[in-house]
Amino acid sequence: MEIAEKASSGVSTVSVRASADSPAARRQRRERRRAYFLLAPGVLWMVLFMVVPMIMVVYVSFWTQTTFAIHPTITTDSWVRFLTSSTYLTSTWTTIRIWAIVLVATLVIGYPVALFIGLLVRNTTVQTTLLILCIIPFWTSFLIRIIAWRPMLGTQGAINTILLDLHLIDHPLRFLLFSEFSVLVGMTQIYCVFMVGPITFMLSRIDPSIIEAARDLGAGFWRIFWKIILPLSLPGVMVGSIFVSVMVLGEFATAASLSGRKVNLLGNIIVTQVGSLKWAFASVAGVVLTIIIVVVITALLRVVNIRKEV
Amino acid sequence: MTIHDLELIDVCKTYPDGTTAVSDFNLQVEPGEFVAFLGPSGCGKTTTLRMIAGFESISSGRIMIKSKDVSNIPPERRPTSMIFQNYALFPHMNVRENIGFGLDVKKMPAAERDRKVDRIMDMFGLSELAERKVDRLSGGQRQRIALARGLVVEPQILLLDEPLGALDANLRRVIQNELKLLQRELGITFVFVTHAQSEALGLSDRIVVMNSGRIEQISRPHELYTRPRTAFVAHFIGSNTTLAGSDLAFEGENASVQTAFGRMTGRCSTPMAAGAQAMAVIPAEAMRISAASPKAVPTGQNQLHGRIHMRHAVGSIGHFKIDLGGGHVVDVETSTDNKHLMALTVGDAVSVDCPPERITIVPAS
Repeated sequence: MEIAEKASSGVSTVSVRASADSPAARRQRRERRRAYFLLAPGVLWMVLFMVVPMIMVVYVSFWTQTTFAIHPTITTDSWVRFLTSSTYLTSTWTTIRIWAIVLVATLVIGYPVALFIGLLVRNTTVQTTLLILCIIPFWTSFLIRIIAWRPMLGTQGAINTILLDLHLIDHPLRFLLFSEFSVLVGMTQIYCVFMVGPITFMLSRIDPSIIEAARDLGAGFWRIFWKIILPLSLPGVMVGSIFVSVMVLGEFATAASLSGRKVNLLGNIIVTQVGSLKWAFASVAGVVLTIIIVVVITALLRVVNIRKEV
Repeated sequence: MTIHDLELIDVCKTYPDGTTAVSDFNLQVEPGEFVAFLGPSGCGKTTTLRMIAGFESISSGRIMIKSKDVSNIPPERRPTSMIFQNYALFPHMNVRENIGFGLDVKKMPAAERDRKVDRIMDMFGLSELAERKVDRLSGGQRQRIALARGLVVEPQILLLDEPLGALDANLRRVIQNELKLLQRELGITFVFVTHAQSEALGLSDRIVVMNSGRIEQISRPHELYTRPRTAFVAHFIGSNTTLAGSDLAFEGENASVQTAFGRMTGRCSTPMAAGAQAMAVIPAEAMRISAASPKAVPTGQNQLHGRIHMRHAVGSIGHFKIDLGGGHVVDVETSTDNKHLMALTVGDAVSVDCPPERITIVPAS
């Protein structure tokens, strides 16, 4: 980006025709060619696998869908069906609700962990070790990590058994598994580390003498946290929030395996519709999901200007 | 009993792994005094400063501020302000917010806080920068903000950790003068840490020279310079030549030791027993140099003979290294005004001598 800007601004300064073949002008042209050459693979990749498919998805969402076939006659039928069906609007709302709860949960659980690793542990070896421990669960497959919650949360699972044995409850708690609760638990556990990482990084960059200076001026722990530590870690919170948001909004597997089909996210609808070859309708859901993600990220970037902070 | 602003009594600092950072530190600081902790890196001077601020716990002993034992009081409740070497400004706040932080902590009403912040910004010439983010400012400006932030809360003692270390040489001289004036104006006690003897000698009322966690000497700058009490101080301060000797003898107010180059006569800076091993400390600028001739100094007192090993001139000072033989070299500084001396070249035989009142006899290290 910067290279391209430099190259183009360079060209405008050599606009005098007579000097077009001077060594300086030749060097400018060579640099501009090199800049384009370096940019080309990235741009090509994004156009082929991002821009074109996005346009296709929007286009296909207006195609005519019959029970057994789809043909490129433009119609708004799929959009009307989506926007008038309470099922789909409910699942849109469920997606947003689950995203919001998981985002808050990963932040509330992840921040203290990051605080510990990034700020209290000052030995970099210990820091790295603790961060590696956080990613150890990723050595097993995503589905196994989700399904592992079943023996924990089930009617005869670990939590119910322990609570029954301690006589804290008479009957097994049924809301634990195959409910929205189990989806929230599963997602929070899986995505928490994406919140911990960026926040830890920002916290570990805080100069310890800044915190000492605040103490020296009489500030107690909470004031130091609210006025110094939290503001300085906000870029990390934002990056973590973007990671978690993008992944949770596009989720379907956790809901599919832990909700007992009670929670239908937009991701689940897309999977089902594609499975039954309803491409146009799946595209509508895809476009809606994309819009939500863009809105969420734009809103997050509004809160903290990451480019300015880092 | 007089009230000291700051008193350290038998303060020791031992880390859990057994290493001793500071031991038997005793110091009384009078109100309004400017005290420097001077020593090489790792001598424990910064640790001592951090113990006074409360950032390091003390292993034994007591720290008193205005006769109140603060040994177990956390840094946020001690009446001290610390100026950090890297200034430790809050990077996400502007100049005004940085300076006002300590007053906000005290829950001072906004109007009063703004008045105080405005006054101190005016005093430090920072008013123009009030709304600027601190990370875009120069080293000298950041230094002033750090001072303003530390002083606006009206501490009883200001602690400065190498306050001039991060500045370039010219700015260092300017800020050094400002610090001196500021301290005189405010009249509060300053304790500052440095490894540069010129800063300590130029700024402070008293200097605490530290080495390996122990106090070597506490003196006023002039006395420290002219009458070192240990071999370490003699090497660390000024440019002295030391000659080791034995058989210390006294004669009136003078003392003399037998060195490899004859008896050297001077003054003892600290009580010693006759016959002890001792060391003669000869300041480079106190030595007179002359072309070698037997009649130069009739008394023959404190006279050394050798050949010029190196010579160069920096501005008005001519530096000579005189090789006495046997691996001993003495440093001599003279004025370049003396054309006769400046005509001497490398290899010339010369003799140097020094009046007894300028030589200090210290215990052998």
